[in-house]
Amino acid sequence: MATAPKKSAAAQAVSASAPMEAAAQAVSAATPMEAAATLNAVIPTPPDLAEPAVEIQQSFRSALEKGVVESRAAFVKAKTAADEAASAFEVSFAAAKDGALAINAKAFEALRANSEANFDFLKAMLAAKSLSDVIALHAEFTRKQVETMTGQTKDIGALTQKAMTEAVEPIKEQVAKSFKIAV
Amino acid sequence: MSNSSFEIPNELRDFAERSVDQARKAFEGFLAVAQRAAGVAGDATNTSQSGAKSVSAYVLAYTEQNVNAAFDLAHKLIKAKDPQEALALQSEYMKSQLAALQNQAKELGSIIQKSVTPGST
Repeated sequence: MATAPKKSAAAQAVSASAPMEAAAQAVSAATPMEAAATLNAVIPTPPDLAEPAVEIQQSFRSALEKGVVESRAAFVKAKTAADEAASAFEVSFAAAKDGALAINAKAFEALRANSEANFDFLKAMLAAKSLSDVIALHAEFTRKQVETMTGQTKDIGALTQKAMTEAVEPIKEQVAKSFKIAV
Repeated sequence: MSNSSFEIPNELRDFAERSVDQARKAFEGFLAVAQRAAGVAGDATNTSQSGAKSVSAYVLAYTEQNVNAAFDLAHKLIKAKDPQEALALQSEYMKSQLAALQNQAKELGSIIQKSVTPGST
C-alpha cells in the first residue's frame, strides 16, 4: 500500500518485521474491540475483519476523499468556463435586446433544472442505506451538475450568438475558449 | 459492513420526503413569480437589461453555492466517526439546502421585480 494508514507506535514496532505475528497477538487480545484496534493499526484490514469497528477504514476514506477532491476540481473548472462565457454574454448584451427574452428563458430553464437536480439529490439521500450509498449519490450528482452546467453554458452561448449576428465575434471566441478549458 | 443504524426510520423518512416535496413546490412558486417578472413567462414583453443580466449571473452563483454545499457535506461525511454522525451531518445538510433553494428563488424574484418596476432604472 502506497498510502499506509497511520500506525500506533507500539503496533509499528511490532509490525515492521512481523505483521502476521502482530495479527496473531491481536486475535488473542482481551476484548474484540482491542483486537480490532490492533489489527487496524497493523494492516489495512479487509472489511470482514474490521466488522467490530464502526470506524470507517482509513484506506477507504482516503479513496473517497480523493474522489471528492477530483470531482470538486472538475466542477471548479466547469464553473470557471461558465463564468468566462457569462461575462462575454454580458459585455455584448446591449446589442442583443431581441434575444434577451430567449436568453432569460434559457437561464430560468437552467436554474430550474439545477434546482430539480438538488431536490432529487436530497430525496435520493433519504433512501440511502449506507454511507457508500450517499457517496455514490454525491458522485453522481456532482458529475451531472458539471455536465448540465457545461450544456447550459453552451445553450445560452448559442442563443446569444443567434441574437447578435453583428457583435458575435467576441462571444464565439470566448465560448470556444471556455469549452476547450471545460472539456 | 454494519450500516443498519445509518438507515432512517420509515416514518421519519416519509416526513422528510414530504418536506422535500413541499420545499420543491414553494420553490416552483417563487420561480414562477420571478419568471413572470422577467417577462419570460406570460404576455409581459418588456424586460430590462439588468434583469436579464441578473438571471444568468444568479443561476451560476446559485449552482456554485449548491454544489459547494454538497462537496462540503462529502468532506464531512468522509471524516464522520460513525453512522450516527454521518446521519446527523446529512440531515443538517438537507435542512440548510431546502432553505437555501427557497431563498435563492425568492431572492431572484425580488431582484428581478426591482429591476423591472416602472420608474426604477
